[in-house]
Amino acid sequence: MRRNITLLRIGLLILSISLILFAIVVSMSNKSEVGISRGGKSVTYYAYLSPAPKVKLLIGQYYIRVPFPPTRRPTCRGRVEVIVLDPYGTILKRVERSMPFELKLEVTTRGIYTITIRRVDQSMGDLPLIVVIEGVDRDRSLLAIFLGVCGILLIAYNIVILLIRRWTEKRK
Amino acid sequence: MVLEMMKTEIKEITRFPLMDLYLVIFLILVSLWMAFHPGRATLMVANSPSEALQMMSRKILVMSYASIEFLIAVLTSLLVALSIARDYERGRVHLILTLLPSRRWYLLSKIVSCSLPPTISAVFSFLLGLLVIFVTIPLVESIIMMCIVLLLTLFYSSLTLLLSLIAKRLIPSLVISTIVALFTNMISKTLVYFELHKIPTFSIIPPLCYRTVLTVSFNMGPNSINPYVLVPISITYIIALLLASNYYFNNIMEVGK
Repeated sequence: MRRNITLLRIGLLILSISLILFAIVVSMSNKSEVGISRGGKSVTYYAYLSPAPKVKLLIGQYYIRVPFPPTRRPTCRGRVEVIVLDPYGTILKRVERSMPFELKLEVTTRGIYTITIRRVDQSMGDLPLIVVIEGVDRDRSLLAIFLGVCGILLIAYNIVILLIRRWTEKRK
Repeated sequence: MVLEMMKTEIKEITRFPLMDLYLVIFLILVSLWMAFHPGRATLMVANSPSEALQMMSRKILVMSYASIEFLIAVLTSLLVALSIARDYERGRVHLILTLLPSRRWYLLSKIVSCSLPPTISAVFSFLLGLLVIFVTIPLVESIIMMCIVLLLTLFYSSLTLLLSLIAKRLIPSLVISTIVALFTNMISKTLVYFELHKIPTFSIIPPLCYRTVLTVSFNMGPNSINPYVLVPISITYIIALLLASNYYFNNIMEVGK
């Protein structure tokens, strides 16, 4: 009896974790932006990215925390080469353009992405970067669903065992 | 003897769904915090991708620890206060006082068994949070985190042990221990708010010293503080409180209705 109650508790616990995670996933499904800026001829940024349907890199634009009232972001000029490496070290994108510009990324793996921005002309100044990420977080939603199913199965198993036990006791 | 006592105490604690409650409370706070803190994208400047990953996991661990330090304090204090008051009101303390050699083991078993549930819940939540965020768990950081959380719970349980032995009854023990836990935590938060935690003299005040040990060992704190001095100091508080409790329990405490 005690073992079954413990199983029920664990099931409820797993279910509650999945609900928490699901709540996080739902609340985080909106657009989020982060930005960084460093000066120099060549700068390497490390971006922790989670898989999402839309990921954009805005190169050459300075990040403004609260863009209200909607104003144009300050930008910088110059021709740069951008190399994006995925967490395994393979080149995801390599482009050479004039700042400011936008680069779309396909993020399928959670992890640290390496973004190297290098000036290819004689211009000087900062090399700012903004990462825009939109859509539902794939990994977290999958984990929430998996945990939820595990929790429900554990609770269902426990209820079935209790019902069978009660039924056999009645027959006796 | 001490193992038997601890076993009995843990059995008593797990009679109620405390562990489950702790886990859910910690998970709600830690998972929410850990999931929101790195957001969906974070940008860093580092020397290598592994250094960036390490920087981020350390930052998240310190921030998560700071966010649930208060909860660990209150839950541990309540658990010890409840345990001591229950023993006193059931007459178990009378029995313990008749067995001379088991007194200090009784106190030790009390603080260890009451520190375990909050520590396990907190560490489990931290590790799950890290697993969700990074898919991997940084081993060294996790071990350091586990030790710091254990030290924090031991500090609060030894502090509440002394207070509960003095207060004896259930309601006074609960009220005093909660007020003291809140007060000490408030002092710690105030020092951090005014950035006084960077001064070595203030950083050794408990429970701030445990957070300082964590930040210094993660290379995220002030460089002027030596971790080799800070760790023994933070353990000394626990030993001093335990010795005080033992002295009070053996020589001053009166058992009567």
